[in-house]
Amino acid sequence: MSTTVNGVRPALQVTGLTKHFKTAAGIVRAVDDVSFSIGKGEIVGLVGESGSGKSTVGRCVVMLHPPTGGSVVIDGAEISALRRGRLRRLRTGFTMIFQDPATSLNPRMTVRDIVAEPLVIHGMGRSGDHPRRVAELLDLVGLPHSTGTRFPHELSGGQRQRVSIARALIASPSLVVADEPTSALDVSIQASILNLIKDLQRDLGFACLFISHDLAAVEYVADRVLVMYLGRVVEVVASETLNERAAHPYTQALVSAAPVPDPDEQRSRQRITLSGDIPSPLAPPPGCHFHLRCPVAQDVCRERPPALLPGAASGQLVACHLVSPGTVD
Amino acid sequence: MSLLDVRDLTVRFSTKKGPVLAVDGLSYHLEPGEIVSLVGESGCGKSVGIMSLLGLQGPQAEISGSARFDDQELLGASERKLRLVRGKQVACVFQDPMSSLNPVVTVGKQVAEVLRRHRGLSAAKARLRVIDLFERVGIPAPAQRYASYPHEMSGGMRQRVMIAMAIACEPRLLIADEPTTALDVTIQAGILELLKELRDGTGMAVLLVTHDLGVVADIADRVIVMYAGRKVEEAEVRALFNDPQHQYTRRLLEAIPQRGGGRDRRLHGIPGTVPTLRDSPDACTFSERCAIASERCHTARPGFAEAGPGQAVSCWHPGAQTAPAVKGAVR
Repeated sequence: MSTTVNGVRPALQVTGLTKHFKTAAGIVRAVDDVSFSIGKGEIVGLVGESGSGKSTVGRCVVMLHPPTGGSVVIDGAEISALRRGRLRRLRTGFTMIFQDPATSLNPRMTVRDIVAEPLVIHGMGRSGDHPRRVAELLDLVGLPHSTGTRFPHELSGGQRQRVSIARALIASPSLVVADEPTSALDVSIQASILNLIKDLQRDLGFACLFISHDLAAVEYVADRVLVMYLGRVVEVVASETLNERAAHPYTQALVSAAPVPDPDEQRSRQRITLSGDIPSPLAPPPGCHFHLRCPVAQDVCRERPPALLPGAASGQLVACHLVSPGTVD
Repeated sequence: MSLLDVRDLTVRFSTKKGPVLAVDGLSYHLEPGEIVSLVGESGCGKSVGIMSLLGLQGPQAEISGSARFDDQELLGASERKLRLVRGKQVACVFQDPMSSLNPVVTVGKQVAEVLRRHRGLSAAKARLRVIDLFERVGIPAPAQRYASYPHEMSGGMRQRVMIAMAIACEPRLLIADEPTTALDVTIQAGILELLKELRDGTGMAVLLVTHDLGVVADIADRVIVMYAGRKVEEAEVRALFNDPQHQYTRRLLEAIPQRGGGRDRRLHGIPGTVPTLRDSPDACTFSERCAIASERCHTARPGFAEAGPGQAVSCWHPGAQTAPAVKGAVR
């Protein structure tokens, strides 16, 4: 996974990323040796359930959390090794869109000021040019210029998320991390925001890490999907083959549990029911993190953690002792 | 006779900014053993349309219409009478089990209390019955779990406790308001399976409020689609998904990403936002966002008309096929 994509330097290269949090109850091992890369102009989806560590990975990538171990390289610069001043200068290159625009936008600032803030903070461009740039961004995200003088509370949830997308893109980043950007929105609004992210990505060419618990949304926007379970990546698969080629027992369970909005199909599907809950990241089980709930676990799964190895489909990687490399199915 | 028969339910709230019409003339019914789902987006009135039946709406709500449960009128009933119905004949499960459970009492004791109060069981008998219920809703090691506090359990297990509490008195109707929305999909699948089993085993009817059409497709027999306080379509579940008649239902189904649908099937959002209503307009409430709205849609409220077997729709142009996103700029 640490190789370049088609010989080109990737937009993001994460190697051996580990993040521990110290709490009163002990050390929470939120992310445990995660490696992946995102090519230039690629959208990679990151899925998993609560407690899988997917949001922590996103936050480590943009250095909102300094990693405990491992490296994060964006556009060739190892940002995880940089001191604050130098890191700050590079921050224009990567950015984040949060789940809830109601809490991630300053309620006392106008939309115009919110969108322009990255330019102000990083001293980009002449301040006289900022209004023109803000207007360009509002056009880009489909908001009328008149929204510029409004405050976040005057806007709908979908409009607010457009504002946070405009803010994220104004400094022309090469990497955007979107953490559940549509989860707080109604379905009719969700579709427009998913389309907006797809279209902007196609037009502007940034790389994107799209974090979501919603498999269907990830399949819709992402080229590849990373599946996480209890701090580790268990599978990487092209999004169009997620349904048919999922090889890890957890991915298969996840795919089978997500309901499809079609009564005939939904009621005739084979479902894999998982017993129990995701274990506590305070004390992850030895071996494969999934073995306690895995319907096919063997002795080896309880003893050794499986490595992430190539699967049968092109580009597929699977971390499972019971899936022999290159011979899925 | 229907188990629940709601007619012309209207709920208004007075707020600082003036009155808000949350539910506008909603009628629906529920038969024993049936799972009916109320679906719609935030603010469509789906939760209010159910909670107001049980007097859970607070004093600022102004409620009119009729709601008969087993031929007893619920609207305007005394608190004493409602208390007899709630818990015993009608039980509720809400979205967030953590805020519905008492954090300083063990979960076993909380469920036992229901049995002691409504069934007059002794403490020892109630305890045995609770352990039995915990087993039935799929809580592992039920005897040990009896003594757990809510914070010691996961979200899925807490929701199972809530369901155990709800079914403790063998209610004839279970009202579930977004019962799986806060849960992960692998846990959700188990809870939906449990609701189906309970229905099949006891003949309990379920009124399920949800925004998730995947959940509806999984579990509902019949579906009521709400928009801006009004019922816009009602249908047997397959008819609703296969042949939606209302433009709003159609557009909602086009807006959800389909698993395996790939990236080439373009989704279509619905332009505009849901209106907040002060009064009931003489118009279709969806007309402002509808791609095929005609003059009449803006000036007259459509009635409710039969559109097929068990399917009814409130639309002046039912079943019209349209190229989506004709009106408004949806990217």
